[in-house]
Amino acid sequence: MEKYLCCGNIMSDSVIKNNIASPLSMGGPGFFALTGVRIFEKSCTLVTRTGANYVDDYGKWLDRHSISHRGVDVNSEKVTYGHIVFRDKNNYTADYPMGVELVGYQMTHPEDIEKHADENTKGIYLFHYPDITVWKLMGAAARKKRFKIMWEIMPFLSADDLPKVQICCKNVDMFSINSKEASILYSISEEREEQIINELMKLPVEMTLYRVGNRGAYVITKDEVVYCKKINPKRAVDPTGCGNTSTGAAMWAHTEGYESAMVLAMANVAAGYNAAQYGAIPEITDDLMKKAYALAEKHCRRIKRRGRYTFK
Amino acid sequence: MAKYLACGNIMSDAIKSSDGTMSSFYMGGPAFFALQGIRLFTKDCKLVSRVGADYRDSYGKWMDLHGITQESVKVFADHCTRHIIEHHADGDYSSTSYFGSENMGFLKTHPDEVDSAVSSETRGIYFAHSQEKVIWKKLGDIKEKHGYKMMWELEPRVIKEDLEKVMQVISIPEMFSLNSIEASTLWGIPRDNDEDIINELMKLPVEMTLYRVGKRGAYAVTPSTAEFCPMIDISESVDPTGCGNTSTGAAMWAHTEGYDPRMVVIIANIAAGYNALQKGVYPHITDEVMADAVRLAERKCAEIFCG
Repeated sequence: MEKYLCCGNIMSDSVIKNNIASPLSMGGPGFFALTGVRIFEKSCTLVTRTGANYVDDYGKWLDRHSISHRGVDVNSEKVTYGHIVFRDKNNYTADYPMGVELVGYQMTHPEDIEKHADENTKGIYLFHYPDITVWKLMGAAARKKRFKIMWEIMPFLSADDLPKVQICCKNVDMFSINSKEASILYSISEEREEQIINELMKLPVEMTLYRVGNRGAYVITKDEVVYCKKINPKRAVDPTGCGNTSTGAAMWAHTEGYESAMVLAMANVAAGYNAAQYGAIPEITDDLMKKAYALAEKHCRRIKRRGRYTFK
Repeated sequence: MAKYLACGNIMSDAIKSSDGTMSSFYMGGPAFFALQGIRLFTKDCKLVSRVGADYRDSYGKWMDLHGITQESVKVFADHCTRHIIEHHADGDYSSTSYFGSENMGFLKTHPDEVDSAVSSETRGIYFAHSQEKVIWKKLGDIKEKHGYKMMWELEPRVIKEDLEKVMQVISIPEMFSLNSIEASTLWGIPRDNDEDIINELMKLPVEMTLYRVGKRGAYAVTPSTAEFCPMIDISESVDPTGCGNTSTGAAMWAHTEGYDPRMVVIIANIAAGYNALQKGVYPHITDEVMADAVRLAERKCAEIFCG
């Protein structure tokens, strides 16, 4: 069975810019994270609940990449889809014509993950909100099956969620959050990065991927902070899913034991490949995998030359 | 294990009055109201639901008080779903989700939970769900394995285009329940035209449909008959939230037990009457309350159909 599980919703997105809507493209946090892992590692799979029509596109993508469908539970007729409207490069709103309730119905549960994880599983990605019950169940599953967990926090938080986030983090190994979410959670202005990062360093996790939108990302541990600006291997077209993609890649890289600079470089390279088109990366060839790895190595050297604790 | 299962969401409701004031949150949700409706007539029942950890403080205590096993109640989140309900003068209502509709979807019961909850003892189940083919195919397969009867209560907020989907799956359950707003929307027939709506309901490939007409009462409709029973007030009515779900749970039990349509609709309306006595569910269904409910059903049957 696969070493890495990407768990969470798949959902197709139409991105609306200047009142023009793109066609629906494959996406959703679980799927974007899968592409982020798959760009570096073939032993990965998706754990999701979705609609029967996933076979028309997501299913074909999985087949093209020799990824098993065993973690895909068809529980509805249709994959959910959303209209994403970017207000600026870093801020967006989303609406779901099939209803947000269906999005919830298709959310992955801890029991799904426990069912699909086995002795080969090294790391999992899960996109979820700060619910103590959910993360306790996840923590119990991780201890039983001995895998590491990357938690990418769902957006639309409030400062009231901070105590829950701190409790939930005790059950995970890695955490991923963006600057807007962190700003709300800690009631610190987004521009005050050092202050936010100081707070993130206190979380009881091994590593936090702190994403700062168009400017790139940081990897934060208890001992160090490293920064890397965004990496565009090709011209950027659409940032939808870059956070999920980079988080998937960071989960894999950290679990595999790479140093922080390389984790960060890989995360940003993955995000860069995601941004090159609407929707998820359409095909990850062996050649693309090699190029991605080489590009990450190059940027890793640059990050290390800049040194630690480097702010913008 | 239990003979009768009420499957679906539990959700706590606060009622917002026309003057803007809000009540506290009361226990509710389609499956819990249905459970109440069943429990009024039989102790051999249980809830199948995904819930929040805080269910123990209210729902859990109610089930303990009523000797109902919680073996099929699974804690999946911190909080039970909550809604703020506003009732309208035309009998319809609107609701706002307190923790978000995503949370409600996350806690919806899945067919595999029904599969885990049923046994060879199961005789009937209640399930409030949408008309998705994928879900009903799974429910149908589970039912075939175990041989029980199933009552489908249609989820609210249907649109005309849903009729085709309803017709694709309606042959799977044995019983169906919907209200006049839903029926009117699906078939494009005015709400007050009972006859034409009932004509359509009689064509459905189910043994019995509970057709609920709000404050007027309800019909038990079969392919050959339609028996009407007016609303039954046990005492002064306080809140109608959950009357549909409660009456449907009771009707499921009564039909499965073999009662004729007249008795089924009377039992359904009595259950609704008990539900309407307070906000939320009836606090304690004692043996005396159960005996009263049965006596009332027998008396009403004699009055309405034989008097």
